[in-house]
Amino acid sequence: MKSKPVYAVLELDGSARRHLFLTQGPEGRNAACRALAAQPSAEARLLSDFEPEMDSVLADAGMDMAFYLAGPEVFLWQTASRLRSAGVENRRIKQELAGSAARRVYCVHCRTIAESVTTALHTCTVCGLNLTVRDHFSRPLAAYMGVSADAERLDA
Amino acid sequence: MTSETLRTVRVTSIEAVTPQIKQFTLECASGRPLPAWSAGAHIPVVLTDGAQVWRNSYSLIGTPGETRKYQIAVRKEALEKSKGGSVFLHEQVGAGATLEIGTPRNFFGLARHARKHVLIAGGIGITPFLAYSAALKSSEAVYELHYTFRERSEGAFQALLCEEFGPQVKFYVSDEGARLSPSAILARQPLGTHVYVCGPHSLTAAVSGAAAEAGWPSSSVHFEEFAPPPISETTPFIVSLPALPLEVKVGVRETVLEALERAGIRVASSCRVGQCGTCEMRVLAGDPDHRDRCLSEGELADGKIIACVSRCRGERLTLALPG
Repeated sequence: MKSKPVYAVLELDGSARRHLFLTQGPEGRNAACRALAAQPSAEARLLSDFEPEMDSVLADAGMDMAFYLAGPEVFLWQTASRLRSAGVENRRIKQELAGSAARRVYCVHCRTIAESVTTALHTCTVCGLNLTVRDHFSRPLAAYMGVSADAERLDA
Repeated sequence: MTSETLRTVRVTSIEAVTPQIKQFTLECASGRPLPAWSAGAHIPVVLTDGAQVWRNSYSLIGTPGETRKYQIAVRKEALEKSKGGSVFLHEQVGAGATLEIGTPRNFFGLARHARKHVLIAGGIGITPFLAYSAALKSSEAVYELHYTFRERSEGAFQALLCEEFGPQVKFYVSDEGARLSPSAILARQPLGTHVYVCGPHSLTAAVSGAAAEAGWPSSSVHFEEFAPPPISETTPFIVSLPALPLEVKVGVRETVLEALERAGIRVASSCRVGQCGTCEMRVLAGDPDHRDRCLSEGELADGKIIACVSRCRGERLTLALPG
């Protein structure tokens, strides 16, 4: 499935002059520190669990900056969306999945979003359908699509 | 490779914009609407003077989407520096004459997601930006235009640009000592800025160099040139197409594409400056000297070559038309 994100290990982008690491959770912070340790002379800044500071961070950013995100998947995509709407180019946003491998699941039948799903089969808490969690990933929603796993039994 | 569909157009009016630049208005000879186009698009124009054929590319100016007529602005280039197509247009083509044109193509469109657009034009490189203003006004993005030319009388469309861009346009007349500094323009631009540069190679190279130096991502820098990269220390070579079969000599002042066209081979082409990739061919043997700005490393390794600019380091280049 093409839409399933592939994450890499963070590495500094040599074409940028300033580097900003945004992380969530201890694993995210560790991933950023590992990447920074590889190039200690780079002009870099690390913000962990930065939510309230985001706007001032973006106000100070310029065309010379590259962004590195490390943390759980929902954090990676919510932050990428904010950066994109601030005008950051896709190629200047790098992501490393660090921390829980749990997924956010979007029920395509009733549009409920379930957090932290760790199974491939999930029962929607709102409409009660048994969902198969597909590899079909929505970047704006930061969620995997959950579709009825047993549609043929609905009328029974 | 498909050969390009050409359309016959009639020159309905000619206006002198500056002593060196003329504006030509073209309408379909059979009265039908012309293809729609977007800001930044160019058209291939085929000029025929007896046995001599030129294929030049010109940006469409005017309002994007206009299909009743096309307008182009042509600078008369000195014969020592050009192949003579623009001189022919200036001196031999009058109102009522017909020309062949290809379909508009665009490799210099606006990046719709940009928050700010910075346009930089050198000389006749102003032409694609004339069509940008309508598109920019209807967007929410902010924009500015920096336009440099040698002397005041050579700066085409100054009045029109003042009207269209208002305080967002800045002129740099180099003979009056006003120098356009790419690094000063690029400094402190906000996140989400895209820069577009059109002009001679020296200007596009200066802007892309300054952007890389300032740490800009290359995806935010767009450029278009009118001439292929300057050809220096070249020697003639033989191009061989075993599939036809055909062998043709490529002279020092000639491109592979032109040599093939001279031999009667129809090869689709569009920008003719190594930017669009339309005239892509495959290398079967020989040591190609790539001068294009469109193929990726992978495509080069795959044996692709752009016939309008690339040459050969040895005596012989064996090529195939893709297909």
